[in-house]
Amino acid sequence: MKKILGLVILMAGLLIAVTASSANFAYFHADRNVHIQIVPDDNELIDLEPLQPYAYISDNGMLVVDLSHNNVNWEEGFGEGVSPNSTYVFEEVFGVSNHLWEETPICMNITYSGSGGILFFEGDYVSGTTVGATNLYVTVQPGEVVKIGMIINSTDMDAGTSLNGNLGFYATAGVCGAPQGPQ
Amino acid sequence: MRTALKLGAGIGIMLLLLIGARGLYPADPLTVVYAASDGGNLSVNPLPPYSHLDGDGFLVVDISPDSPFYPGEGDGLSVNSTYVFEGVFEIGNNQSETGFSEICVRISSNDPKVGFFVGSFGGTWSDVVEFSVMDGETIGVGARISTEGLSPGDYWGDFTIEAWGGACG
Repeated sequence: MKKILGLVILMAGLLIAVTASSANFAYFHADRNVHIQIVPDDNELIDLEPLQPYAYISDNGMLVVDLSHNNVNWEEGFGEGVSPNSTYVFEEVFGVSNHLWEETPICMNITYSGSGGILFFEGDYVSGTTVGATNLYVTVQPGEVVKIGMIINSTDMDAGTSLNGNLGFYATAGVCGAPQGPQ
Repeated sequence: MRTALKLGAGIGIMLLLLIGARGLYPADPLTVVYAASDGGNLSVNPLPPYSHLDGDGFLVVDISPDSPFYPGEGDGLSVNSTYVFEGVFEIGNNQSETGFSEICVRISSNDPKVGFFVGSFGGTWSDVVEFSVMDGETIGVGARISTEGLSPGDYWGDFTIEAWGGACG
């Protein structure tokens, strides 16, 4: 009796071993997740951070440059704007920093469009040398902050005039001027 | 009596072995779930740093401080912006595992923020991308993420990976 039982189990075992292994892949289906955190401009992968009270982060997390009494940092007694027929230079109004997780440099193209009289420059203002532009290319190394300043020229403008415009930011991987980046 | 039983059992074993021999397939391994990848028979691999395998071993695209690759700065994406990441994850076909020299893979986004593209970014992306993976090949999939019209916050979405043996279409 025992012997026969043993043989039956052995036969059953062989059968299972031979038939269990041969399924070919026919179809695969999987649902997978994407998790994104959307954060204010001064916390994200490529930060835009205010460096002076003339710039701030708005309620919806975007950088705003505002030289008027509408700026959240404005207090009674502060100046409310710029005078006509004058030139102002502000260094380090806002900064662009690179916190990409893969530690690669980026080339950031900053463009301004809107009312005339507003130009931007990188780093320190050197009188006679620094030329402002409405289209800048700056290389930002991992962990670095590149500081952007403004030149406001109100020549031929009247008091009470409002200057408005938009800043666009476009970045690609790699340093500026590299073969694969913009020239 | 005993001899007859033994003979019967012997024949029984022989018969079973013969059945097995006819049914034997050449070198087909059991399905193995590899600890280093998702996907079973085909390989679905995260490419650091914007995706990883979660606690259950499933691929997740994760751009938040929850990611094991979060370096302490760069908490996420900004509002009203567009980001393009090449090579977020890759799909591989090993014929000895899938049984096919060519498989067709379809990646579908179920999230309006996320679009996909294959290989290097050429200026186009889609909610659904379909591509072939030959034996021995791995194909990188990139993601374009738009935060247009969204405010700061924590967002979860999903996408679907499908694959089958043979050519696409």
